[in-house]
Amino acid sequence: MATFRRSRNGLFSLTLQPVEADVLASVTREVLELLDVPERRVDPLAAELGLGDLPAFGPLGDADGPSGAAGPTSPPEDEVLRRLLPDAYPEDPDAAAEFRRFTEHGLRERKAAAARAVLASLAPVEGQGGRVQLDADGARTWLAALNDVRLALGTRLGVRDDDGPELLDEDDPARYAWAVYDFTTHLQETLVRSLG
Amino acid sequence: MPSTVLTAPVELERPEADLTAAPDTPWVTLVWNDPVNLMSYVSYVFRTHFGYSEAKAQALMLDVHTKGRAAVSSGSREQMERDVEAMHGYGLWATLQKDD
Repeated sequence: MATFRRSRNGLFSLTLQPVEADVLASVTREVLELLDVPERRVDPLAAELGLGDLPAFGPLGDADGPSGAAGPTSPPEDEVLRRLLPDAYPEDPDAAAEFRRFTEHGLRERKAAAARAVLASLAPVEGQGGRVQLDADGARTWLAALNDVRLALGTRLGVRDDDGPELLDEDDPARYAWAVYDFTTHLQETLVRSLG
Repeated sequence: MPSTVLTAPVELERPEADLTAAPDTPWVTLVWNDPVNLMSYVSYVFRTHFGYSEAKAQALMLDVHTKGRAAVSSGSREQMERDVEAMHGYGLWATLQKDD
């Protein structure tokens, strides 16, 4: 199974089989779609000046778009999104709504940006496999994105404790999801260990 | 959290012992146990976000795992909201409340 290793040059390196690259990209894309954050319009001048990656909030944010302060006040209906964007005040609905209004958009944007970064580093190896190399920032971004993918899969699979699934029939579609879950768990475990 | 091998024995410290909230900072950030998040990852987040030592991060992580939750930081409500938002960014299940 593909394993993260820290190479001598300080980079974090992962060699993926074609199917591993495709599965990882596919499940990351699903999380990105679920987060439903439109890609930010890039100011060409800002991009040329290397300012393309300014924080999503602040004066350059789009007041009507996801960067604006007026976000949603109720939790998402989807169970995965509720896990990715949980209530901060479980016993105070008003405070929870207010917190969500000011934080949810930004949180979605940061999670979407991490998923997009993973997809960008997977793009060269999709369909053919190969080696992905990450610097320390890239490794930290991958770590958070892998966690979101695992939370999404774990929520859908109804992971409740430290044990794996009940024995599943060979044609049970959940077997595939469990295999992907185990794979992303292995990737995250070896990445966090490499980061030390 | 799925079990991982803990290589070194960890001295358990109770969060309330070293998170002595001053009267003017009566809020705490709680992190809750979660069957998906890896123990190694939770400990990593506590080290990197809060700057806690390996031992303290491990102890807090074990508190989360065995007791169901742990107070991981304390301070003003605004500070705790920032910590909770950061924890959500990492994918940890965090809430804040008045320290009682």
